[in-house]
Amino acid sequence: MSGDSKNNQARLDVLGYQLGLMDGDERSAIESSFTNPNELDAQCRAVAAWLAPLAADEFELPANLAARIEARIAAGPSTLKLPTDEATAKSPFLSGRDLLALAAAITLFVGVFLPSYRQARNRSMQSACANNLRDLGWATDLYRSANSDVLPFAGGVSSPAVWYRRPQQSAPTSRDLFRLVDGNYGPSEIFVDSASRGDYPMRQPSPETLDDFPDPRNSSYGFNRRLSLRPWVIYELSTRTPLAADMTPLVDANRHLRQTGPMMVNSPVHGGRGQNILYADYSVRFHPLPTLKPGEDDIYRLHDVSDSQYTGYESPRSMTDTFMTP
Amino acid sequence: MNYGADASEGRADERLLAQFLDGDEQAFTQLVHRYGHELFQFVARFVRDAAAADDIVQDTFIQVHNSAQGFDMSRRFRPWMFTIAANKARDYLRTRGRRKEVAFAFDNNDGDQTNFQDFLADAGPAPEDEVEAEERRDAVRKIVARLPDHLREVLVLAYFHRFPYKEMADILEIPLGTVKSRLHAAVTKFAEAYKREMVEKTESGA
Repeated sequence: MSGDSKNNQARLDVLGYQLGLMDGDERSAIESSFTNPNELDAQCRAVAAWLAPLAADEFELPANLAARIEARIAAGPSTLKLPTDEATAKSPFLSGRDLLALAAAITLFVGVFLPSYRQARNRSMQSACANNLRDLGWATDLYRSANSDVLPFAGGVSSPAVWYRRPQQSAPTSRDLFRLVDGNYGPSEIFVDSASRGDYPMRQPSPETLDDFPDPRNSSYGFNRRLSLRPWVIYELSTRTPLAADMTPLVDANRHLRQTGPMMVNSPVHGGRGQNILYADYSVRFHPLPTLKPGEDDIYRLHDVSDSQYTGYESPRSMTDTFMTP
Repeated sequence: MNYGADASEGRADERLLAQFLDGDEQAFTQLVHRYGHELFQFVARFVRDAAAADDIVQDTFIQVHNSAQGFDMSRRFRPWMFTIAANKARDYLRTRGRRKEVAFAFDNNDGDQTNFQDFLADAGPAPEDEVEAEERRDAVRKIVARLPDHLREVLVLAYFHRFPYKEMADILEIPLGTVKSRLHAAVTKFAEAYKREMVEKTESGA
């Protein structure tokens, strides 16, 4: 198909045209954008051929579904009958034996189930966090596809080696992530680390009010800033290149940034047990170790560090060096 | 199987619902028979679990039954019912703790692709049927299952149920542009992965 016979919008919408998702005006616009109707037909046939395998995704229908629905509706809302035993109603007070049994039950519950509950909750939050990161990867890919292979986090600094020496206002900030939210590339919830209690999703910002995350509780994942310094394309990256990570990357005892307060050895948002990392192949892995060496290097975050505070030697020494920003 | 909106039946669904609200329980039964299987396929394809889909569809119809009084008769019944089902399916996925983490194996040498049309131009015709039907079905189901939830639900609504863009935006409660971009992404991801699977199976079978 020649590029002159259609505009970009029409190229994107052939899919919707083939599936019959458009109204009459939109269909007419697509048809009029093709000077040769045979080209549109050919495009539609190609789309249909690639979609055809989807028809195999069929589930076996359950037996008597309609009958069971009707039965449930006929049964109406289920109700619980309250006990009417007179013995129960005799005294509103618990006996000493009842109190002992209750105390034992509570002790058993706290001792046995609470640790299990906490473990399950941590696993659940870690898993939800990983899914958020994976969605963030998909959103990044959508953004890259729609923006000439430019990744969304463009910090506006020339070199990852020197940004921390520049005035604070020149450093990239999380406001650049708004491009993902504002462009509808993914659900706003993906910016919230599920392991952070009290965090809440980003609201959809308007371009007029585009600004940094308005509340600390909106802070979430850190992007690999270096990737966006120029229009990198995914195939230039190693599949093991980290794209994003939890809010606080890993810092170990030998290579660290001096900060007020205790030195962090692991992301606190997962109880100090490790950190979820999103890689360039959109896989997400949880790294339980206090140091991480993708591509023979570590991930660092240079948040809230000024020249005078900086004592490490984290200037990039190779193309695999990765720096995270908040 | 595709389920398109049946324009020839006009507003038959809404009429049935009105009859039900007037006290005709048989009208509701007709709606259950009309949409039970379609709704089941939608939910099953979305949550990837037939047993859960069975429960969700039952719950959906019960909610429709109980909430019918509040239905705005100027709207369409089918998208409203799908909205309820989609919300319940999403609640289920959240409750289940999301799907098992499975990394999507991307071929990063395909960094050039930007949309489905470009993919078509680069990839040429769809793979020939050199792979057994059973293998193809397994591959399709695996690929669809691995799509992120928000891409899979758009793909299912668009391909299998042929909801117009605007109705999908209402059902999913997202902007129209987001529906289009998600559908585009979903189809591209599916086509890429399917192509890769078929090539691998053909080569391994050779």
